[in-house]
Amino acid sequence: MSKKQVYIMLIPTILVMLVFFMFPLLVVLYNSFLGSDGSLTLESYKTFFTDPYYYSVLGTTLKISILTTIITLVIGYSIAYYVTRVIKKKWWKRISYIIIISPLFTSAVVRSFGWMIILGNNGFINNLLMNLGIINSPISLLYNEVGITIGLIYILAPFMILSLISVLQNIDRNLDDAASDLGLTPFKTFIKVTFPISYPGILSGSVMVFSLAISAYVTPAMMSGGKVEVLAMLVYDQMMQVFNYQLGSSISFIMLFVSLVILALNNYLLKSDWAQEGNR
Amino acid sequence: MIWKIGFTALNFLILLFLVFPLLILIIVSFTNANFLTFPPEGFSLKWYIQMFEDSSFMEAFKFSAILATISTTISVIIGVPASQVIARKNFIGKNIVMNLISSPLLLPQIFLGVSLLQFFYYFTNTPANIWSLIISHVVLTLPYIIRTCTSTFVGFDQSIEEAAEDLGANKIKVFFLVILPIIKTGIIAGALFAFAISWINVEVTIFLSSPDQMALPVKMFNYVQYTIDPIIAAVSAITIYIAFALIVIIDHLAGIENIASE
Repeated sequence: MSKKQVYIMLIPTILVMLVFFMFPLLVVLYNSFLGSDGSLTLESYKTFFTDPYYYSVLGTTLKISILTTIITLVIGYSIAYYVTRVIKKKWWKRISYIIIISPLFTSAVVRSFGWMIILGNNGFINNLLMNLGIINSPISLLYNEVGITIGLIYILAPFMILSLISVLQNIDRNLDDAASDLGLTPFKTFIKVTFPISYPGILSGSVMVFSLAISAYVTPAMMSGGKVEVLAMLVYDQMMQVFNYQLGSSISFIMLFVSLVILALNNYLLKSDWAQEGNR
Repeated sequence: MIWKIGFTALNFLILLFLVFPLLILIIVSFTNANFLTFPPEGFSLKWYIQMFEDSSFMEAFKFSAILATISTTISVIIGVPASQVIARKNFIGKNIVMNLISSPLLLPQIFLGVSLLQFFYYFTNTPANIWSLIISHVVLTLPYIIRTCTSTFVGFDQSIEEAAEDLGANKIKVFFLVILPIIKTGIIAGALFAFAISWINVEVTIFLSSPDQMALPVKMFNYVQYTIDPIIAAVSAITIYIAFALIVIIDHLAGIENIASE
C-alpha cells in the first residue's frame, strides 16, 4: 500500500466522523452558550443551576445511576464468574452467552415494555404476591424510581457482564492452582487473587454502565409514566416540546460533562497502583 | 458444596432475570383477551394477524429494515478499507483517528441525537427525513463495523496476499479473490451487529423522525405512551424472534463467545 492509497482508504471514514460527529458536537457546544438575543452568554447554564427543580432532576438521575451501577456490578460479577469459571458443559455455556447477549439485540422499548407487564399493578409480580396472600393491595413498582432502576439494571446488565467476562476469562487458571498449592482456600484465592486482577473489568464496566445510565432516555421515559423526571427526559422536552435549543444543549453538555469526568477518573485509576495491583 | 449449589442457583436466577421480560412478552402475545394480563387468557394468533393487517406497523417494519440495511451497507463500504489501514499501517495521526472513530461509542446516544438534530437544522427546516436518518445511523454503526473488522484484519496472514501479488494479481483482484473470502465472515458478523444497533435505536432516531416516516422502535415507543394492548406485545415478540435469529446466525458464523469477549 502506498501512502496515497492509505489516505484514500481512510478519507471517507474520517470525513464522516468529522462532518457528522465532531462538527455537530461543536454546534451543540456553541448553542449551549447562545443567549436568547443571539449573543454568547452563560444564560442557559445559569438557568439550570439556579432552578431547584432542574437541580433535583440532576440529583434523581445521579441517585438512580449510582444505584444501577452498584447492583449491576454485583449481579454482573456473579454471572460473569459463573460463565467463565464454573460452567463446564459447552452447550450450557453457549446458551448462557446467548441469554446474556440477546437483550442487546432488542430495543430498549421492547425490554422496558416487558418490565411494565411484570411490574404493573395488574402485572405478574403483584398478581403472584396477591394470589399467594402475601399482600392485599398492589405495591407500586412501576411509575416511580424503583421501576426506573429495575428497568435500567436490566437494560445495562449485559454491558457490565460482557466487560467482566472479557477480564475474567483471560485470568491464568494456573494462578488458582498455585494459590491452592500455597494453602489458600478457594474463597481466599478469590479475594486475594482473582478479584484484584479483575479490577480493570470492574472499572470499565462500571464507567460504561454509569454513563449509559445518566444518559438513558427510553427506559426512564417509559417506566416513570411521566411521574419522575431524569436528565435525558429534560433534554428531550427542551428540544422537542419547548423548542429551547439553548437549554437543551446546555443540559446535554452537563450530562456529557459528568460522563467525561467519570471516564477521566476511570483512565486515571486504571493507570494507578490500585488497578495494577493484580499484575504485580 | 452447599456454597457451590447456592452459587449455581443464584446464577440460574440471574439468567432467568435476563430472559424473563422477553419470555413474558412472547407468552402474552398469544393471548386471546383484549387487554394485557399475565398469565394470558386462552391462546390465539389474532394479535399477530391484527398486526399484519395494521399498515402503520408494517410501514414501520419496512422503514426500519430499509434504514438499517442502507446505513449498514454504507458503513461496511467505507469502514472495511479504513479497518484494513488501521490494522496494518502506521501513519501520522493514527491515534487521533482511532480516538475519533471510537468516541461515538462512549458518548451518550441522546447527545448524538441532539447534536445531529441541531446540525441538520442548520441546513434545512425539516431535518426529520430519511437522508438525515441514514447519515445518523452511519455515524452510529461505523464504529462497530471498524472495531470488529479491525480485529479480523489483525489476525490475517499477509503473506498470502504477497504470494497472490507475486503471481501477478493486481490490487483489486487481490482484494476480491484473496482478502475478501478470508475476512468475509468477520465482516458479516460485524454487519449483522451493526444492523441490530441501527434497527433498535431510539435515542438518536427519535430526534429525526417525522410522523409519516417512523422507524419501528420509535413508533412502538410513541404507541406505548398512550395505549398498552396485546398488539404491541405481538410487535415486540416479532422483534424478539428477529433478535434471536440474528444471534443464531452470528453464533454460527463467528461464535457467540468471540463476539462476547470483544
